Amino acid sequence: MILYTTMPLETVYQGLEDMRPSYLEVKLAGTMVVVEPISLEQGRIVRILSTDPQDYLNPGLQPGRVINFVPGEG
Amino acid sequence: MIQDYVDLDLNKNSTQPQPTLPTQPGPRLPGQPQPSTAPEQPHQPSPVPQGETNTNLANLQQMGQMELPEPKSNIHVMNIVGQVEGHMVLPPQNKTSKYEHLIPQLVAVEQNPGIEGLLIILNTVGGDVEAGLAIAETIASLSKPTVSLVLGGGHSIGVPIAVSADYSFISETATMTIHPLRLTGQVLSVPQTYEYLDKMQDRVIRFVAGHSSISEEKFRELMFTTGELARDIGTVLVGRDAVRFRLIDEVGGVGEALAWLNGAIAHLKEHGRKRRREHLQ
Repeated sequence: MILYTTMPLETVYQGLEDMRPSYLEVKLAGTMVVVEPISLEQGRIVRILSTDPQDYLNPGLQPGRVINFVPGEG
Repeated sequence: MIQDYVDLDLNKNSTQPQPTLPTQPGPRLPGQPQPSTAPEQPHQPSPVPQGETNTNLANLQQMGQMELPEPKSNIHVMNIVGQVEGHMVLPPQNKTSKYEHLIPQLVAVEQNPGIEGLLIILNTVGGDVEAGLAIAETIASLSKPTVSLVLGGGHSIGVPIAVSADYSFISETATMTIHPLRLTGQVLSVPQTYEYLDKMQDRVIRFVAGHSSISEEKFRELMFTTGELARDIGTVLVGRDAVRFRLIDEVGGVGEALAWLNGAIAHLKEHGRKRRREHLQ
């Protein structure tokens, strides 16, 4: 991977070693999304896993959106 | 428990709410008794986007469905900011534009009949070469009119993205930095290292020369200029300079870019082909 950027690479990569992202795959209204939990009840959408291109224009599925987890029946 | 999620896809076949369904009660206050019309929904089992109280939300809660948004505008705007993120998730101090989201969005723009044109706004410091070139190639291959506008800065890998549109604008004070690629990580001091880097550099140079009016030689010359940058070799082009070197087509802002895009949409409808730069026609 080559980064072609004007930013000093030490600035870009700062904190990389301490980064421990944890992701979950969740089905949100029929579409799989990757969610990063921010608390026990909430998560932030990271990316969409869908083959329908229109899902990527859906404002309800935009990365960064916070969703609430609710206990399921299972 | 975090692991317990509700799959809301139970009602997938009924996309429209039935008219006989009870109307959705308003926002429920804590302690308020449950309305007797919907006793089977004690917990509103749905991941609910925050801060929304509209019919979409009601639909989501009742049906587990979100209606696809009807495109409100015939053009879409794509904002490319911060680092163009590719194969590696960058630490959170970076503001990033994610490749895996932008590419399918471009596909959706191409496919959605309601979208007639695309405005790309750039304020980026560069980023992953592969991701940047992939985005640029995808924009260049769209059959719908595209226009780009460099605001603030369109540096490094932002340059090919800026020129990938049918027509490009740069604001008066925006800058574009053109500099050589550098290698990170393990670098072997063998001739192959230089050849590899040269090959990677050529991909960028060829794309830029192929999609703008600047020549390969001139772009290469700008890339290897010494004495301009304090910590690097290369060139900074401010607004008009980028137009003078024919890297960008015109100095302008949102108004000019949208006017061009609307003209290009009309041109496509009238002539059945895209309006292009003169030398590309």
